[in-house]
Amino acid sequence: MLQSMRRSIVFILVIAGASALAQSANKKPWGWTDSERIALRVAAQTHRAGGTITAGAPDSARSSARAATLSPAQAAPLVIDGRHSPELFMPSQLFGILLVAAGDADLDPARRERLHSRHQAALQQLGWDQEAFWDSLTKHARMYNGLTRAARRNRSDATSIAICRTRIEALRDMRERYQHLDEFLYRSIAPDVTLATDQKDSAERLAWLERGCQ
Amino acid sequence: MRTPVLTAVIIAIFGGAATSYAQKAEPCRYFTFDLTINVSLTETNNGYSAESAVTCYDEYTNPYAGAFTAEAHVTDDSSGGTVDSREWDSTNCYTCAVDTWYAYMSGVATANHCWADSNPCRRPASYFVHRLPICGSAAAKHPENFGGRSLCCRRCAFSKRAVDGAAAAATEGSPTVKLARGAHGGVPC
Repeated sequence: MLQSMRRSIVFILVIAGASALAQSANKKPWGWTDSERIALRVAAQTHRAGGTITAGAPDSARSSARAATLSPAQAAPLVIDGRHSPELFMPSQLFGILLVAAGDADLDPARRERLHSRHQAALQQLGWDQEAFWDSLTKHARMYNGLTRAARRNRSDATSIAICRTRIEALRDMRERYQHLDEFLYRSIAPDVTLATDQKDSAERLAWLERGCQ
Repeated sequence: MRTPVLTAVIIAIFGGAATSYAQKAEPCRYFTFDLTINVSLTETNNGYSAESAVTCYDEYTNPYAGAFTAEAHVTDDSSGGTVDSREWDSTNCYTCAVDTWYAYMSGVATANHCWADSNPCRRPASYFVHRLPICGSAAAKHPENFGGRSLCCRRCAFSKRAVDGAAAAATEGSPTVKLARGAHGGVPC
């Protein structure tokens, strides 16, 4: 019953989000609501082969490559190119990418230098204290990456959910500290990142992940 | 400063693979590619640096040490040669599985050449090509992209279309899925 209600709510959110898409043409990538992103993402999955892959300018070579290799029986992957379609990333995915990068940078001074240098201009534009920002993020990253590594491969569902929840709690905390965190994620993190998956996520699933797997 | 004519093109081919060792790894459900390349063309510093990271995730979008292969290349598109490359293959090595694989490459940049940073990894059932052209010169940086990003030069967008054509031709007859994305129009530096 509860599941049914939840599904109905998600469905309504998707419909509402889809209707909002038409009004969101000029919206900045960080200005989209979760329901709008989910609606767009589900739509992109439905049209995987022609969705985000072709978000750039028309290119006949690209089309012919796809036509030459995709048979109807093959499930086309969803590919999100952060330069062309950053709005398709869920915030927690971008934040997760940042946490991994910050956690690994914490263990390698050279990598830390490159990571900080890469986002220096963005942090400056946002007017944030860079040292404080990286310190806060690194604390979350240590916890997140520590959980991930401790879980190893054979992790239980409960462990996976705990990691997922930790990510979202960290995101909430950083959003409280940094009002424009989402702008940073979509302007500075997303452009260098491409995400690919052959997993088809339902709207309900995406919303669940975004709630911290709860 | 010399004329900023270098262009970097990032190519990515990716995927994941399950392995069946003592503890069977689940396949990666998501992959992310984090790719950057910088080219400096000044009187005192003519060089490139490229960093690629491939991260594997499970169905919870948590980082996951799945088995996958990956390669990273820096290619001089003008001469058609790979100037540096890194490879990663954990499919036959349970103990060396990682959730994120990094490749960092750097070297001397040559003026008037087009460059490419490619970051491929593959999976038997899914094989993709991702291309990302970026101007490597300071003058090419796009002001709206926080100064660190850049759009591709028209000059190299043209050469990239030729590369795309080659990729499309190479794909024919392949049993795997291969998607190629080309330059997005090309913007003068």
